[in-house]
Amino acid sequence: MKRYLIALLLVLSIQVQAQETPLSTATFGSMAVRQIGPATMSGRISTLDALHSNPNILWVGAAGGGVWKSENGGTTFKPVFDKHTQSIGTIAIDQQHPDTVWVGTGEPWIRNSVSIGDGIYKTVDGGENWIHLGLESTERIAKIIIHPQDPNIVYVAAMGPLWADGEDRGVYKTTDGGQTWNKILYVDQRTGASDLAMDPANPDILYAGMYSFRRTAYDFVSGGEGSGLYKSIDGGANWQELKQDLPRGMKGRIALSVTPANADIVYALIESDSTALFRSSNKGESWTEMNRTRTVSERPFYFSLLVADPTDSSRIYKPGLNLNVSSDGGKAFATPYTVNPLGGIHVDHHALWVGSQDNNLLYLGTDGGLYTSRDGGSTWSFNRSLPISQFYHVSADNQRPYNVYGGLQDNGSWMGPSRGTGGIRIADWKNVGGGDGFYVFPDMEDPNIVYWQSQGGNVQRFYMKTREAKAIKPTKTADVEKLRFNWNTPVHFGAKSKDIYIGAQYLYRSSDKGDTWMRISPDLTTNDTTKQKQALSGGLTKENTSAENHTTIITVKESPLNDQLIWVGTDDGNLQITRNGGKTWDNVIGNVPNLPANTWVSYVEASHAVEGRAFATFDGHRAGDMNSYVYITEDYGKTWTTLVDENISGYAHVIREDTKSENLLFLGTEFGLFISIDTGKNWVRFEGNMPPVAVFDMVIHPVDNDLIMATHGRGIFILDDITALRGLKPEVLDMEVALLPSRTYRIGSFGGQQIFPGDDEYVGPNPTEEATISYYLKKRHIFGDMKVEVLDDDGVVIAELQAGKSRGINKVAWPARQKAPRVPSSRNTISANAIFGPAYPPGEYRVRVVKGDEIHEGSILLEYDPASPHSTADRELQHKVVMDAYSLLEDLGFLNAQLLSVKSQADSAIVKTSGELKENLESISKLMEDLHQNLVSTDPNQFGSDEKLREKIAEIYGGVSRFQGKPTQSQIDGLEALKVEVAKEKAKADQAFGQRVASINTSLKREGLEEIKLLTKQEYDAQQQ
Amino acid sequence: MRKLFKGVATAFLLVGVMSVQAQSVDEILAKHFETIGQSKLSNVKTMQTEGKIVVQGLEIPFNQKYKREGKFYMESSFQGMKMIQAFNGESGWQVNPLMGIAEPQDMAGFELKSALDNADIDGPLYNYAAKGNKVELLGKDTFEGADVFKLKLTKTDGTEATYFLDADNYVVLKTEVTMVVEGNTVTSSATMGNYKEVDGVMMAHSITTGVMGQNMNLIIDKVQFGVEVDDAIFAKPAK
Repeated sequence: MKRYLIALLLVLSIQVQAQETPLSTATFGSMAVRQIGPATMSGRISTLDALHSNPNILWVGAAGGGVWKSENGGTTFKPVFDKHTQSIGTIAIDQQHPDTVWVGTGEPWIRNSVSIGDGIYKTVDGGENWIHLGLESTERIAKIIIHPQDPNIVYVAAMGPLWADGEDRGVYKTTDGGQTWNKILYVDQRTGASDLAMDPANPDILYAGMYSFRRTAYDFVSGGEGSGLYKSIDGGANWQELKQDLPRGMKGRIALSVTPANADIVYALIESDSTALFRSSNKGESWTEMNRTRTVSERPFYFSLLVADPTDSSRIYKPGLNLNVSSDGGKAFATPYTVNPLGGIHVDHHALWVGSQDNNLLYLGTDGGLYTSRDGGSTWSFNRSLPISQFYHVSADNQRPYNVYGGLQDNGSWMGPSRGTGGIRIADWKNVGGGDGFYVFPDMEDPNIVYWQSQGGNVQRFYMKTREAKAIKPTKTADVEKLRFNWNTPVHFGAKSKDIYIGAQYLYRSSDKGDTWMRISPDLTTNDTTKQKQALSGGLTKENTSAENHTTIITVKESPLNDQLIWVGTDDGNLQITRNGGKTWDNVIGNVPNLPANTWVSYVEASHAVEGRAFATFDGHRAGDMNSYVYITEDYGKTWTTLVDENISGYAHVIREDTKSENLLFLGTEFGLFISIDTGKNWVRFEGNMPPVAVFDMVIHPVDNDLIMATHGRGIFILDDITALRGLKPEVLDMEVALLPSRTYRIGSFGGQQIFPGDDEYVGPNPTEEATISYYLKKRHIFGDMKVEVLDDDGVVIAELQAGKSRGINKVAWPARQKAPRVPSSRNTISANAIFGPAYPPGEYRVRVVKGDEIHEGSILLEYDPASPHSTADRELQHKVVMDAYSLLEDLGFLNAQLLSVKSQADSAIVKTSGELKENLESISKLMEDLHQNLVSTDPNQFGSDEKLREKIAEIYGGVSRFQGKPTQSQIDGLEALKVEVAKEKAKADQAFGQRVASINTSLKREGLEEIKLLTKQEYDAQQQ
Repeated sequence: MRKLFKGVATAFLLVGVMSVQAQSVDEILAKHFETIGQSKLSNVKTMQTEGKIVVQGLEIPFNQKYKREGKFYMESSFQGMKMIQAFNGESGWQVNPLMGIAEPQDMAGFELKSALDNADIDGPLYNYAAKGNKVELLGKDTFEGADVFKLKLTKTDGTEATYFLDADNYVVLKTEVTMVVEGNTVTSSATMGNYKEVDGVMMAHSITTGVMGQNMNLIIDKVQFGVEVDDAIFAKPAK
């Protein structure tokens, strides 16, 4: 036994030594995600700030999509926080030093889907670089206030953990620019600081709203003994709770606002059993209740925000479900809208900035993005450049280009293309459903049908053409209890059966698009009735929106290998499997080691390769457990092994096994995407253009082989073409150079459009239109030659490409087109129709990566799109006509070069001659010029319509080459006619060369001058055009 | 355990920071200039590079000529139509029929600033202090999987450039330049590779440039020093 162990150890150590290059973030080299948006509906903005002396400098913090900076008042934005936590709590510009900006992470609007932060950051260079300055465990920061005279003094309102007790909350102060922090106000382990205000006239006077709050997976409590309003007059050294005239009972969330227009006035919105707005006109010593209507009292946990006008002391804004404003100090509120009674803006407001130079300038952050008003809130323009949408799920169809489908937080259900004309634009996205959106699926048989749902399992079968929706949610039958549907109810399409599944506490299955449901399980949850009190949820302010629905099914997966094998995970920690289509179920959660009881099963993935294999992720964050849980089973759930290593961070939402390479796994957590190439033994974070944003769902496109991600804060990300990753076996990592498999390239044409939408629209980038050659480099190439070549069957190099030189995977684009025809040159114009060469025909092409003296060979396949309507015969005819036109342009190019060469030689000789010879030279020069001008347009006026032979042939060439199918008869006939014209011009030129030039040459020779030589084809070909 | 791991990580980080600090800007630059053969380059009076721009499968041949002090001429052609950019040390002009500039026209804005930048054979890092430029070490990072030093250069006109210097070989792998043009900033980048020695000077033979989101690949086929360059080519012709 001992010997065996030693032998095993030896083997292991050899294996360890054998693989010297571990998988690392650098392994993925130049691979990068495309962030396709959308910005159509944008997403939840949690905070914003602008520079009072120049409001074009605008910073926006997204609930789950990082920090964005605009220097032009919102026309364009740049993400400046992509290496850090994406959940933003608050942003504070140092108004005296505008390049210094503080960001507190962790959203303060504590809805059920809220993310977490990791402390406070500062930039001193306008967002290029960030320094993390601690407060890691505060989870969410609601407010930062910079001392107006001493920027090293900063106050922070930290709310602290939402789902657990914790002492990292309260008001903090630094006096050394964030190097060290003192907690200057703390109440208890449930109570954090929800707001903070500083006296505009005296920075030592502070007001703090302390808020007791707690969430679980099934309950929310707003308010508690710890809540209260506090004041300090000595920079936070001592605090006094303000009680005079304020509610005596239990309090909840508190919002504060002061105005530089009058430092004596303080506003406080205090949640209680009768939530109301209070106003003090003596710095908080006494208070008057101003208003307790729903305008100020609704949903305090989500809408506790007050913004006093900085210049008008009687004006105060109350953003909330809608925007309201009071011009009498808070007594009466009304909407500021004057054009559209609803205000053309998204509901649910969380951030508002009012200009102090011009208080008609307003920036408003909502659940649906950023709006700007220049007339005090009367009218609004929507900002179209913030792709911060929060998807819950994503799916895709098989159209070309394929569409992605998904539902979003408070923004309904949408579909959009993976490729658009000139990029993926706002107009390319289509809204298919309302409410909060979750799972959205195309019907794979009927492109007119999309399935979507709103919160609480309201699943709809939607007909695109008529925009009619049929509610297909299963209803309660006599034999079962009241159905419990999760906020984010699982809908699943069986990969093998094509059936639809919906999970309540029971699992339902339909094979007729949801018209008939079969209940195929008993209650699969714990049915713990203590966790079914959502109707009582909310604390001081009750609400029952289905956000706290619990003891429900949350994930469903039918095995791609066996449609009787179904996995179900529940939000209360049951993991169930049936192998007989639901006749019997086994709860295998007890077999999962080192997992706390009742942990939310976030995802189950049934293997595409081995029937007994499955992967499961668990998410305990709603119980305050932020660990990552990822497991694999090989035996239908009897035993489970953890797949977590130290490189993974964030609670896990989803795991996908590659559909074609079983060792390749993708893991989405709250903090990004992680990849394993050895079935989960080792993981690394994927960083190519990918911020650490929450990845809630993923799908691998079966045809395009793209990894499509639903992020909860940055919209849809696509990692194009994972074919190369499939070839990235562990042993490849040690190779200096390794060619990787390349996706078959589909010969296509991509078109264009004529629109001028301005710069204020986020346009999602398209995938490359070119064939992609992939290879791996162990190190970044620096010295000596490196290139990529493509060769035809005869071994002729048909393309030389700039090699990618990155360590890891490189992707080099090859346009798969022949060189453009060498058209006749003109000194003033180009031939736009003949800029590109014709597409290469389908087939296998050899590929060479040349690195110094080493050559590495592989190949790439080109094919016609099988879905294309063009027949092979039509394509062959098209190719023939294109090549005919190509040859004609090339012939014309050579003829033109001959003419210009003779002209140039004649012009050089003119100065050396006189008399008749000179006249003859001038004459031949003019003749050459005239003939040249018959061939090409030389009109410098680019708007001219000077059409010569080149332009006419190129028009046919371009027209035929842009369409892959049958050319028109008119094009074919036209080309034939042009051939005749070219022949005529060639005859004229040949005559001139044969007679006039020969005669001049005799004279030149007689004078001892150099004869005019006719350019040969060989010389012409040797010239670089 | 997690805390311990973090502690170890912090310790490594500190070591990393210390070793970065151990090398000053001037030490890093000294190694850089030694590697690229700056002493030879300093004696170069004229330079010519020939190559092609490769973009979307199109090949656009170009020829660039440099002459001290600060003169630059570039000719390229497309479908046989010539495009010229020239800078005489003070002002620049261009011909670009493709953009409707059929006759020589003065350059302005970003183009002029870029030409001015490009015309310095040594580049702004060399003798930076004498040129009034400031250079600071931002720290260590990685670029395309290589460890790099990030150096930030600030010019008197407000132009900022970040240089990514390979930490093992001291050649520049990337530059990111932010120019202030009439109050607004324009950023551009260039990624370098295929370094080869030419008469003792290490020259990149592969450059990928990016301006306003548009990338172009430059393949340099030939670099020559000491070629004859007539001053006349830099002067703006009448027509």
